[in-house]
Amino acid sequence: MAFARAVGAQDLAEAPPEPGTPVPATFAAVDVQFDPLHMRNMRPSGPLAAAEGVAGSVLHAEQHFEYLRPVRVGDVLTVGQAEGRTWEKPRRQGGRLRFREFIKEYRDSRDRLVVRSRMVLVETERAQR
Amino acid sequence: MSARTSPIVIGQRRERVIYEQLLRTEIVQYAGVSGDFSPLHTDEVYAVGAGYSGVMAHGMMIMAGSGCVLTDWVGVEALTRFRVRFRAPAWPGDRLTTTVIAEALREEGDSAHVDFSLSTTNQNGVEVVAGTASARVGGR
Repeated sequence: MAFARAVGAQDLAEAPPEPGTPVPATFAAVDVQFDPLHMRNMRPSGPLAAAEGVAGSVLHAEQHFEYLRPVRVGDVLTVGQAEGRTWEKPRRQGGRLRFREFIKEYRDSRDRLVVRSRMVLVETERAQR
Repeated sequence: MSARTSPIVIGQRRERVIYEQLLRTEIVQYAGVSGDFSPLHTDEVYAVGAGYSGVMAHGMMIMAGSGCVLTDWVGVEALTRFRVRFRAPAWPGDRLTTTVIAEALREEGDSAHVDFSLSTTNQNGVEVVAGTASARVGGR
């Protein structure tokens, strides 16, 4: 319900949704909240940690979701994560953009794939206004 | 996000203002529910020091709000794919409008799917999110 309220999913924002209710389309992206190491000592885990120690900025460039079925309230999902490709391309204003891809698979209690996620982060050498 | 009750016609569109005036409080709210406390979203002093005019909204926050325009139309259970590129930051005070267009009908296996384009722009017409999505509209 808190997530629904934060993203404007009005029909889920009135009261705690019943088990089995499909959740908003991007809810899987907040799985880091279930990582016991996340934000311990104010340190992020997962792809967010990619921003740590980068001299410039790390921005979210792309996000893809593929849904094998909807995620529903009450689902217990296990997340597997792997780093994907990395690549660079020149920036119009000069310098380089470095891209990093993170792939996640969310599986249910029967190990069936529910959601596949692809996140692309971009490291810039200087802030982009 | 309720299930669709009428057929989707190719060329149909839905348009909605998803943020009348994006608030810093809404960015903080999304940081809390998402666990993304990057200082680019939460720390004005840090963001300015990094060369930005201030804190920016999370891309995922804008994707989520944009996605609601789509799923309010087709139903979240019908969604099979949703992809976006974050083309420009969204800032506090921005007025953001999302437009979703039914672009094509496609057969895949024994199911019918509609492919959509999605675009969210700010008050200056700058596209902040560009995306595509697909939804199952018939078949199994």
